[in-house]
Amino acid sequence: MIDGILDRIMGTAFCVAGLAVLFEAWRMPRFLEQGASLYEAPGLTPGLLGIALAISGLALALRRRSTGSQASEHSSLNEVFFGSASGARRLLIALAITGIYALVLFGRAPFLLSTILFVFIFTITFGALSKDPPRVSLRATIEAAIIACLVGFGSRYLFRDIFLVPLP
Amino acid sequence: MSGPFAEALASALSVSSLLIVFGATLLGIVIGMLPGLTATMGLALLTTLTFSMESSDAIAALLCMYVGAIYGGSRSAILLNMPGTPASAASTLDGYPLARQSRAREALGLATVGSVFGTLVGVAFLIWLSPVLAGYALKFGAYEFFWLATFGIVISGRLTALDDPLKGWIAGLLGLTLAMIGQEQVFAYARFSYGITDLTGGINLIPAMVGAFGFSEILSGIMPKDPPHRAENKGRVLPPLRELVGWLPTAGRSGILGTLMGLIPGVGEDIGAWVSYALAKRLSRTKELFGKGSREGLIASETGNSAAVPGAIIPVLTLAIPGSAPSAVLLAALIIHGVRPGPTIMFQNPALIYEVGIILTLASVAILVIGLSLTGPLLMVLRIPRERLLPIIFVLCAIGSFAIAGRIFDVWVMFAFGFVGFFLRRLNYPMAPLVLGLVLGTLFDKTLRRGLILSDGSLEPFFTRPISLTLAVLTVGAIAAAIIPSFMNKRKASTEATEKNETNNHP
Repeated sequence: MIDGILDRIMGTAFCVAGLAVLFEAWRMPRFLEQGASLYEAPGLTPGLLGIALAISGLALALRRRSTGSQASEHSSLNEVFFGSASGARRLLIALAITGIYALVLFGRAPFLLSTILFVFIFTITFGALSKDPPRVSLRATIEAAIIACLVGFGSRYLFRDIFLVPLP
Repeated sequence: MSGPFAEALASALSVSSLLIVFGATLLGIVIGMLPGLTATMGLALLTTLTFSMESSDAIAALLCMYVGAIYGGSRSAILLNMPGTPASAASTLDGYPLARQSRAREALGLATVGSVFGTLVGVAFLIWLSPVLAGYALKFGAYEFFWLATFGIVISGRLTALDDPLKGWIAGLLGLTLAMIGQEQVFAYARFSYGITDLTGGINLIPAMVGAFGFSEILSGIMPKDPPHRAENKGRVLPPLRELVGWLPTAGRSGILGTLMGLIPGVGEDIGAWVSYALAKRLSRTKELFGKGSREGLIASETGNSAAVPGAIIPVLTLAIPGSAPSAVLLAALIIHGVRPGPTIMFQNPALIYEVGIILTLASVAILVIGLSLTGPLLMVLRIPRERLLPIIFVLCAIGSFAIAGRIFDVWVMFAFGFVGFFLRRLNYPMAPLVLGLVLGTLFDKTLRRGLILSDGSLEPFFTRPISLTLAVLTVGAIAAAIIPSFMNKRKASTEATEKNETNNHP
């Protein structure tokens, strides 16, 4: 049941995206006044791809699922995306920590500091979550700090000094 | 001895080259055996590390990483029931049951022998077929390349989403559409950029692939609470030689099939393994053992995925079209290192094909040595807890994406592709056609427009030139072969349901 609904939602989204691509492609300049052929127009290929994506999305949204695929249906969104409730929680925490590192800190804060912080927080958080009930021990904290420092200094040395890659 | 082969042999057999072969193969095996690190990601990260290396050394390192990672995936497939790379998924079916029967060491040994044999079969095809294909590709014009790109997307979408090809094709279309972002080649008009400077340059392939294959794997890997059960590494290393020889026909078939699967644009190693496994099961005298610890099944899947590596490199070198996702990174890396793959390769750089063949052969020797002697120490890597390993991988993903062009934007691209890729994968949209679309988008656009200009808008040459017609028929055939049986099945199911209802209503 849920898979069929998800297909309809995704199909509609792809259809809308395809139409949006077609609309944007249509608005692109054609350079005809400069003597260019219509077939050189920058919007030609994206326009055709937009049409193909819209048709494929429509086919996905409107199709009827076969009996065989209905037998292997998922029963909830949680099952489709996360496997379990704890899986959803772990995923959200991972997304938050990696997102803050990659989208906020990387390039804005000093590389060494942000990397050490990221590795420390990730290691300590998921180390604690792997225990039942979740807990943080002193030993785990020290280990996480050592790993974070090793990764921070090691990656900086490897990329900046050995491979001459300029780091932010 | 002179000529391109001797030149390639001399270059490959230097001490520095041999050290690189051994080191990069070992690194590839470690990366491949770690669930969450795929061959694609290993290649993408290594590309950033090879910027300052000599071109030939860099290519050798990348090739060895590729072949080593595909082989390395079998280690975790056998011991953890968790394929280190998607290419080793078929190996879990018989590898893990063998390990549970206290024959883990034998399974690891058989996978090693199968991988080495598969690579060598693939290399033979690479050396034989590449010059032939390159010569043939010289006849290709805009029309043929347009159909080749289209066929690649269609067949990749079909074979990587066997249960639901429509999702594979949508993934391919998404990749092609994303490739349209940035300046096009005729008027340098920045499409879909909206004044954002970073978008004008388009989406860089390597951050996109690191995200789609690396970050999304990290997200998948962190979700389960409990780590996978690990089987003990014990038992003898290899069965008697007589038994090994008995599996030669299976290995030979799998080697050929794997190479062919590698050759098809965007299909790659995992399909090579599955197809080889399926055929081995169909032709086996001991079908009942498949899925319960069949050594023949394990050899078939491992030979198939390793043979697909040289197979996937053939179109990279001769057509500049990747046969698989990792080979798409290899293609980008070759261009970064000043190599121009394509139909003129045999004129511009004839030694390259032999050099690649020799490096792959040396890598398979390294695999044999490492695989049969260093398995125990290498498996220590699998003891590292996920919460310690995954943040390190993510740091490498971020640095690797940034290092390509020194743009923070590429780190965002990596994150976005990983995030979206994770959800698309959960909904059974394969990533390989998306990435292939991203790679082939420029070729698709360029050849479509050039073809139409040359024919003054007529579609006739797209369907009348012999090679174009063949590729068009293959493309339409691939679509029809997916749609018609599904349509017939639905119709049959609908008729049966109607009949059943009628019977219930009129007993």
